Amino acid sequence: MTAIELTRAFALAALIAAALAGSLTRWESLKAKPSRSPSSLDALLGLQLQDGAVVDQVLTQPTDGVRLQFAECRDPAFLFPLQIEWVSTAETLTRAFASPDHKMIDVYRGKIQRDWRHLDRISDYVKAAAGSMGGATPDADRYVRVYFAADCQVDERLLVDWASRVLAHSL
Amino acid sequence: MGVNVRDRHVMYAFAGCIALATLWRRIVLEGLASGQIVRSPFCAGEALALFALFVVITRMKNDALFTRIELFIIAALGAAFVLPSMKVACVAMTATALMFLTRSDARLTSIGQLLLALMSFQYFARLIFALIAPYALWLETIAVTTLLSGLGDFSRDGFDIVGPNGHTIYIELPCSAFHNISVAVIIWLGLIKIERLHFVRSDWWALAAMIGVTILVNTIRISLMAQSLTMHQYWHNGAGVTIVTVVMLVSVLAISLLSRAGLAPKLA
Repeated sequence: MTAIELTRAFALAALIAAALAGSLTRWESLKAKPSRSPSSLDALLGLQLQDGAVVDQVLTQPTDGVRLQFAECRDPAFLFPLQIEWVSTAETLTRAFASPDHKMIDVYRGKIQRDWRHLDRISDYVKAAAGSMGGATPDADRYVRVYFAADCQVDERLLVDWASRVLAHSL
Repeated sequence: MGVNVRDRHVMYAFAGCIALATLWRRIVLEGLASGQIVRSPFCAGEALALFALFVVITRMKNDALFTRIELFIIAALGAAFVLPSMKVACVAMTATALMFLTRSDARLTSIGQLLLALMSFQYFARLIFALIAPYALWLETIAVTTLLSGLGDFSRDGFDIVGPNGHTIYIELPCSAFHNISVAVIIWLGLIKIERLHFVRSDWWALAAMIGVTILVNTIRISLMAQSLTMHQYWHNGAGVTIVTVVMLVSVLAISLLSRAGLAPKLA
């Protein structure tokens, strides 16, 4: 057997081994992944969140979301889980809720985002995806848009907690 | 008597790794998550490109095209498929594609093109579309409203298309025609590479026609969805989705066949 034939045999064996090992790791990672029930924002209805906040309504218009009653404020807050690349839905929400009476905040991967434009969203998503090359990027492709009354003072940690709970129940 | 291992056998194994990574993501992860094991247009496009990859590899016959260094590189890149991450697999596919695109052999160049197409289909096409989405969706909304203007008192308000009965829809990325263009492109490339290794001028006309038909069919579909809530449900979630998918795939295949008919040698 010549050197090139040996190298070919080695490359072939390495690739077959990679395919077999890859099948095994994929199967194992699938077993390790917790199963999720499909769209279950409905499951949030009546749920008591941190600081006595309660989901009192599940919304389907203008898009899927929840209405939240909380102690600090007379008026409810509205939380909408959105895909990171969505444009029209975010725009429709803006036109439905944007007013001097409402504050708008986006929550992405546990952080409050203010004045977070489309390009910022895509850029943050690319960074999040690139930063986790070897593994999954939990919820990197989704964020939660929150609207609440402008005269309300809400603890940012609460907003992040509520958003993560809503995100966990959305598709 | 020993079996002679050829370069094409190595490439069959590499293509097998790619098929594993790609189909695992589409069929098992996304298919199970969405409740649909086979998501027709995506599976059709990628399956065709994968088939084309195997066809091109078959054309390598018993030729020795790789140096020892290249074989070591291919073997090392194969290790990327051990991880369940599609992103890592795409890095290996890109590196292999770039290596092959620098070669003068048409078979290796074609394999490089198919690998780049498969990888772009997974990530880059989606990323590019996400970047241009505000403009693309705005243009598409205008196109749909223009088409509908002859059918009634439809109007546009930002991204909303408002019907005379008050029924309002807006186009989001998954429903956009631009989203389906990447499917048309990968099918176009796959069909060419199954038939031959080189591009000819009519291929580019065929590509333009495929993109045009994809945009037209999707614009008509959205126009139908704008008519009423019942129509929206039928064309967005109901049997209308299958009809549109079949029409798009048949149109793309028909354009491909017609462009090949023009290439066939004419009898005097």
